[in-house]
Amino acid sequence: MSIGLTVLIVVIVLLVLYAVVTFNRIVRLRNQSEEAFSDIDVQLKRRHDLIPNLVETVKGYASHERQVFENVTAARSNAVAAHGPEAQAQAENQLTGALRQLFAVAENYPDLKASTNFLELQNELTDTEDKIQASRRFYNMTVRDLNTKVQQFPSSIIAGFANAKEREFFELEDPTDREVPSVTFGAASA
Amino acid sequence: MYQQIASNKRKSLALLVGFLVLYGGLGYVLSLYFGPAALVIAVVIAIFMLIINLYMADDLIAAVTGARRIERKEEAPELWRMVENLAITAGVPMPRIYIVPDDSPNAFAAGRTPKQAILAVTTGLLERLDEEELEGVLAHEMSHIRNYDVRLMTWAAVLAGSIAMLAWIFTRALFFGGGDRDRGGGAANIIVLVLVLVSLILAPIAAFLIQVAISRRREYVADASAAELTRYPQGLASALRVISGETKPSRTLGNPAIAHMMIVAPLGGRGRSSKLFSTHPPPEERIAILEKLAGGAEHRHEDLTQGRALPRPEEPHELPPEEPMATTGL
Repeated sequence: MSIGLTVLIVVIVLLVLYAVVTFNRIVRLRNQSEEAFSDIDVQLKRRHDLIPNLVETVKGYASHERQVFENVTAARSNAVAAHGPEAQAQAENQLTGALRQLFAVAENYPDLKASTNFLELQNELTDTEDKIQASRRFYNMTVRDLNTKVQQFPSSIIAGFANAKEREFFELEDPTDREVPSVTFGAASA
Repeated sequence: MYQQIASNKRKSLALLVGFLVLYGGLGYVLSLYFGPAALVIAVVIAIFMLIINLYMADDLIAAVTGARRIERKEEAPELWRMVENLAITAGVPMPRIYIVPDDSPNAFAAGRTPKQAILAVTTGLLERLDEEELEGVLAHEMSHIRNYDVRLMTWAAVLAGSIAMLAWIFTRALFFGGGDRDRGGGAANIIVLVLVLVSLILAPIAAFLIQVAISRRREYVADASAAELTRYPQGLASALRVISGETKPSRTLGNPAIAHMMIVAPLGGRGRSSKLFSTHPPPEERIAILEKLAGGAEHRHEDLTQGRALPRPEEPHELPPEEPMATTGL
């Protein structure tokens, strides 16, 4: 066997190896990012489940703050109904804004602030928001890895075979910008 | 950061391959003198030690260090929540948490896969670090779990250990008879004998050097991934500063079987041992790298109010009262 032929065979074997490894890695990342997204959903649901209780508790002390309760309840149903990273992130931002109003109102009622039930709900909510943050970070890290593979050459070719597409990041922007109609999502997270 | 982790992974792999070559080489040289039985013995030793280490290590470690398992969230809510959230961020199942009653600040992770991992911290660590520093340390350990470092380090330690054991056995065999002496040929035999002697002396040293080199490499990787998990390299940097500033030699944690798993070398040994022989990179260097990752920023890059209805409350640290100087010794 000539040297040229040997080199050719070695090169082909290496290329095939690269293709197989990259293909598997892309498939793994794609599945992982789907799973990571449903993990965020789990935490978001936990937050949604806390809210009716929270509203009831605040109502018990500040029954005439109707507008605030309505805002929170409406924002919650929007958030529950939202689907897909961008829509969900936007709905969550609205909800966060409404909740901030609720807590701002609660500041005016010392009895409410001292109630153990309220404190417990507050702790639960903080914990849940930490977990949303954590699962969002894992999702975004996975998406970043996946998107890198999909965009970079030559793995982009193999991504085409694996039918993998870029995914959106799940970004929670500061809700004070929520009046601005076009919130920019998808900016790379560090 | 992602690239740094990837390049570190490649280097670890190269180191491990070097190891296997060394092990095979030693086995071959021995088989030249002692016959094929030597190779068989080498393989049997390696397999035996691997099984022991992989299947019993986590429980053994917990027993050796006298660690107490945290079974429920209520026992240490802050620690529990931090580990829980880091596990979510790293995308691994929640590890079992242990607290080691030891005054020297340290932490380690064990378990061959993320599923059966344990994460242990000393009481000294909990007392000395603030929330962000502790988070950095826990993220470092979580990275060891996520990157399968424990398994890699176990392989390395076992291979180094079995090479040492092999060398020990055959050194004895050499002096107390044995060997394939019926073979003729004086000069050739003497060359083989010298070769055997030299490899018996050098192999364990080389194995040890490779082991600690892998270990140092993994520490850098874990630091980098910890920075990625918390988005706050300064937390870990500051924790390392605190820990390395007052590492008291701890005999339980300095047990050679587990010393390589700690976040900082438990016996201290700065200044005395050279960098080459240490399982951990010098803390100054790790701190410098982490601060470079932080890009000179003094606070978190990330806006912590992002997506939150409630500001992160200032949590009071529920710490045992400071021990009086008299009982802590020097």
